[in-house]
Amino acid sequence: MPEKIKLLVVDDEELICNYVEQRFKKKGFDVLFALSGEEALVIFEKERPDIVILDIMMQGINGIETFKRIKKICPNPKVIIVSALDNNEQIEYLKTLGVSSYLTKPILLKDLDNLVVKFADEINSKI
Amino acid sequence: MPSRKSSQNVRSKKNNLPFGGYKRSLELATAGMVEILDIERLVRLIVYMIVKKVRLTHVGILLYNDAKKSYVLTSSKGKKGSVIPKEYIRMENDDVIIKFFAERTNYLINRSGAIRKEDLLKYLKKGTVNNSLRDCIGQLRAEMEDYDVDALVPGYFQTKNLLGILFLGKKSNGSRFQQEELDFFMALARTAVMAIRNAQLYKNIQKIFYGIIKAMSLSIEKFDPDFTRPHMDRMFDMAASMVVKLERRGVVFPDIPKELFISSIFLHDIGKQYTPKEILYKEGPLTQGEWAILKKHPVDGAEIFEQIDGLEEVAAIIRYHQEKFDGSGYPEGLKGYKIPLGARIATIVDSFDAMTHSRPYRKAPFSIEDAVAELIKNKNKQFDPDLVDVFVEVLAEKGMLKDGGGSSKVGHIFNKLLSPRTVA
Ligand SMILES: [Fe+2]
Ligand SMILES: [Fe+2]
Repeated sequence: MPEKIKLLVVDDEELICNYVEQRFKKKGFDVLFALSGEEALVIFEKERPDIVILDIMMQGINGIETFKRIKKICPNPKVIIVSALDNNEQIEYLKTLGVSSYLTKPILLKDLDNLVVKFADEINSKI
Repeated sequence: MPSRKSSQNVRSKKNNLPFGGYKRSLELATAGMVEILDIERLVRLIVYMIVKKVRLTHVGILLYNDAKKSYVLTSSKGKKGSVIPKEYIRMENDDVIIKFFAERTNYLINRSGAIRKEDLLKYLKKGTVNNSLRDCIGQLRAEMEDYDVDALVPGYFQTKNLLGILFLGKKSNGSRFQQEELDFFMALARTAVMAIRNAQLYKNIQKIFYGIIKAMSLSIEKFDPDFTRPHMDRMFDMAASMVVKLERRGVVFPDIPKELFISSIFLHDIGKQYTPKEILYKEGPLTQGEWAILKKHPVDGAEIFEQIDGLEEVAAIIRYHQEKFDGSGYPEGLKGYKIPLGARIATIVDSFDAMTHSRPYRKAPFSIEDAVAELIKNKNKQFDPDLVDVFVEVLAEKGMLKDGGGSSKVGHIFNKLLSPRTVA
């Protein structure tokens, strides 16, 4: 049996972390969460999660900066950005950084599910 | 089933008249709800009333959002991990839950119009269900499972438009939802819909009103682009901060919504459009005759709004914004708390801005510190002393004071700030 896929949820709203954690644990994932970019980087370094669900607007280093630093640790991370901001400029900018998955809050849960499943399939097919 | 039995024990101990209990709750809810015009507060209250009545793992309100053209989970409460965070998820029209309620096929499931997860199973077992409905119900069940809800309660307006849905998690005591509970929730939803629609309509009207105010303030910009508009923007900012602070201390703004109140401060100088430009722009001191003309601006401005029913308080704020606390101001020489609260705020904010920014008829602006000293010196003369303290606190909080403004602490009873209703 393949190892469980490890998911890291990063959001400064704890309720969101708790909810996403519960949701994907039920679906059989290993889930970690971080309430800030700083915390996320420490966990990322140590735990090397397969997929990161990342909020943008956070105190301290924001999601964009966190993404850049994650890329230094791992050049091709599987990151899903979930942000309250819905502006094209930011989405374009994130694309130039290499973000391919972007969801706007409030999200459709099935979009989040689909992206996670897509990444999970990619990971499983590599093994 | 032990859980069922024990829960019924709890129930009978707590409330030996269950139905009467619900009816009473509903009456209480109805009484308060329609008074609330702030949608966010309203949905919070509904959530609060539900969890107070029935203990649930979590509850959420999904509400149609015009701007997003979808249903947004607007308010929620419950156990960590179970509760769906508010503003985190939305549902579109093609979602099976939305479709099911929007098309109103649900009367088949429960006579109340709500859905219990357990009813879906029972319904499927009936065997008279055709395949497409069977599919639909299967999806519905899966989705309820996914959101971890045991019951869904729709709210409609004009009998056919789905305004929102209550998401009800499991009951904390493990028992099932009773029919009377579903009836209660449906009745609650009906009341909630009325209250929410009412609040939405009110909000729309308010939007139009502020649009008009904005248009009027643009006319001010036209006759005096150098100072009036930026001056008003600064004033608006300061006044808004003061109002927030006063509200937090329990000052009630009588008979007038906070936003409207602040907007009237925004309009205080609108009467200056009738003041000749030569006077408004004059360099150096004004003659007595010129002063007399300038002094007409509060009344000229107030008269515009006295035409509109319901805006008497707005007109009063404009009319009395040049009055002084000791009675030496104009146009009427009102004294102390006879001057409306909004006017007492306006005069402080206005004077401070006049001191710290140059105007045609007063060239030498004060430093912020000197202006504050001037405000304090004029407590009880020109200004309401308590409001000066609040103003200085606001300046300090905005980081506008060099010393941080720690010296001014307010410990007064703010009830006396309330002015008697002013009839102009
Ligand atoms: Fe004035
Ligand atoms: Fe003014």
